[in-house]
Amino acid sequence: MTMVFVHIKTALEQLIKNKGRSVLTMLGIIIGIGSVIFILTVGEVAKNFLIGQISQFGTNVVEVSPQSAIGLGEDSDATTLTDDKVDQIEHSSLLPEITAISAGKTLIKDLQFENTTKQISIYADRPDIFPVNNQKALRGRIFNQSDFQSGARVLVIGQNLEKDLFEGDSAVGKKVKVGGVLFQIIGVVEGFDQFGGGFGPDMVFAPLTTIRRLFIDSSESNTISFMLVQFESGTNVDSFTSRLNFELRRVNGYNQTEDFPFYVASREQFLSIFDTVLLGVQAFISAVAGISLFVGGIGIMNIMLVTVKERTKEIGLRKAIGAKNESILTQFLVESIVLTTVGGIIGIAMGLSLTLLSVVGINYFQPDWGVAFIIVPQAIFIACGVSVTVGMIFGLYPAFKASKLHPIEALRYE
Amino acid sequence: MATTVKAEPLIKVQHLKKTYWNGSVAIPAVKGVNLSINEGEFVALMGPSGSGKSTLMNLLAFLDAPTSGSYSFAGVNIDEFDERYLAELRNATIGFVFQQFYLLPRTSALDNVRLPLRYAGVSRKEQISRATSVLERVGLEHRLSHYSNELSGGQQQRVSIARALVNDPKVLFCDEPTGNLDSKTADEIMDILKGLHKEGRTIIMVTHEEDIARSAKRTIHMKDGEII
Repeated sequence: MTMVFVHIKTALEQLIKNKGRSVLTMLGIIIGIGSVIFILTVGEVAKNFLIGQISQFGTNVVEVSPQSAIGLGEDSDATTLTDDKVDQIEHSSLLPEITAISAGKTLIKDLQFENTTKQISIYADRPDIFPVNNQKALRGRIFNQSDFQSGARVLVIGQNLEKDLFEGDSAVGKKVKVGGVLFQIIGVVEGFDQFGGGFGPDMVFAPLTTIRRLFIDSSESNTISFMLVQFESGTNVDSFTSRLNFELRRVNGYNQTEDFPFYVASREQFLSIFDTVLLGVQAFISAVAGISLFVGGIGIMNIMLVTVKERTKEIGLRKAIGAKNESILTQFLVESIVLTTVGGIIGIAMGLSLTLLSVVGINYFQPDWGVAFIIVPQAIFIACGVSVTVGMIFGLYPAFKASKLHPIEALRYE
Repeated sequence: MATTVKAEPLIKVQHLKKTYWNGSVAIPAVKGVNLSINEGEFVALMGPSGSGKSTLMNLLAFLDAPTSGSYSFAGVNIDEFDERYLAELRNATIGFVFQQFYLLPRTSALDNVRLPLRYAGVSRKEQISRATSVLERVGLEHRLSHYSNELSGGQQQRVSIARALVNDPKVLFCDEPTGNLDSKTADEIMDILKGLHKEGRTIIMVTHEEDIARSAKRTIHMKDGEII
């Protein structure tokens, strides 16, 4: 055992003595391990962020939208959601678990306050949008059924927009122009970030009825482009989703076996889709990193062969004074493993730094996202294991060669 | 029958042969040597280059296996020349002093001397105490922690003598021990070897220099793979 410590010490001395050469040799390992750590950690950071976002909006929600609305299919009457269809779903005896349905449209308009003009995205919806998204008014109030029925020109905005427009003043009661029409802001909700939001315009909420009357062509006066169906907590999501699918087919006039041009997914499913995609990306990057590790391993083997040549006399001497083959084998194997392990540690440090840097960068540009840096211990264990294994595999041949040297020939080697 | 107790020689070889093969051409390096060396002897092995003296030393020092012949060492017949066994034999019974010292660079004198004991599996504490005492014996007690490459040639050779002595070997093999040293330093090294001989150490020294060989009590001349 003590011999192994001596070998490790010798290996570290060799590594420091040949700093430049060692770093170049370790580069493949550093890049390989660094990318694995980076992709695994970043994936976990993104997943945590998404889980946070989704649970903030409530997970007991199924999203429904025609594929045409998300750019996947043809637009036609059959694939269009209307108020009437939404009502049928809402009152379906097959779906007693429904607690609220948000059904609306989004459209982009200019919002004007005094001399400031800002592009906004209007969520025109029923009052149910707020419970469905788990949102409450921070100031003022959210719009209600009577606003909805009367088509009141009222707006609910997010915290961030309030900060931008009114610089510390409360937005409640302020009058702004949307698409040239005067609206009153009646409430402020918590900084609204739709999934992956933050890009694009700020979002505001208005009663669907108001927006239809003002901005929507009469031919589309009863259509909506998406639906968020909230169900009682404790509901079996799979069963609920399949019954919802059944009802959607029925109200849209599709039989139960036809291709159905609707996108129906629970937010939990969304997470699992993300998981699958993430896994794919991680597997791909890991495969690329694997190539880097393989090439790195060959580099290690190469440099170990050079080392064995350079130190032939040392090997001869060690054998002359009594080193057995396995001592020499262990010595050079340990050196190779030390080389890849040090490379691996540098790689881990680089991967983590890169992740930290990304997180700091995101938090700088999107402070309200609250993306948190995390360390994934499994990734670090895997990285260490891979480093040691690469050193072992690629160090074996040079170490074996060293162990087989004949003492006299090794001593006389010039 | 035997009235006088004749001590068994430490080294006894008979018809010892070593043949190298260069493809299908046999190159006889040692051609059937008979030789006895007693414990406590100081022997010089002389001869021109190519005479086979180094090959004979390698055979006697268990660095190489003979092609044929018998070898009895300290009364034990060595008929097994397995690498592992030879490594153990060298570690336990042989000390080497080479012309080029062969010290590990950037390694302290003490650590260089400890090396054979590490392979012998001696405890760290004992390694240090034994290495320190042999370094004192060669007059380097104040150079223990110096790196070998910071020492002069004479000091380096003294470190290598200390390394050869640290396992208390039965035989000290010296291969041109003064070949890389100036004459003054060479004399110092020879004085150490003579001192060791006086203490009863068996020394076999390969050299081609007459005046160095004169320090030995017995000189064996070799030519063309044979003792003459």
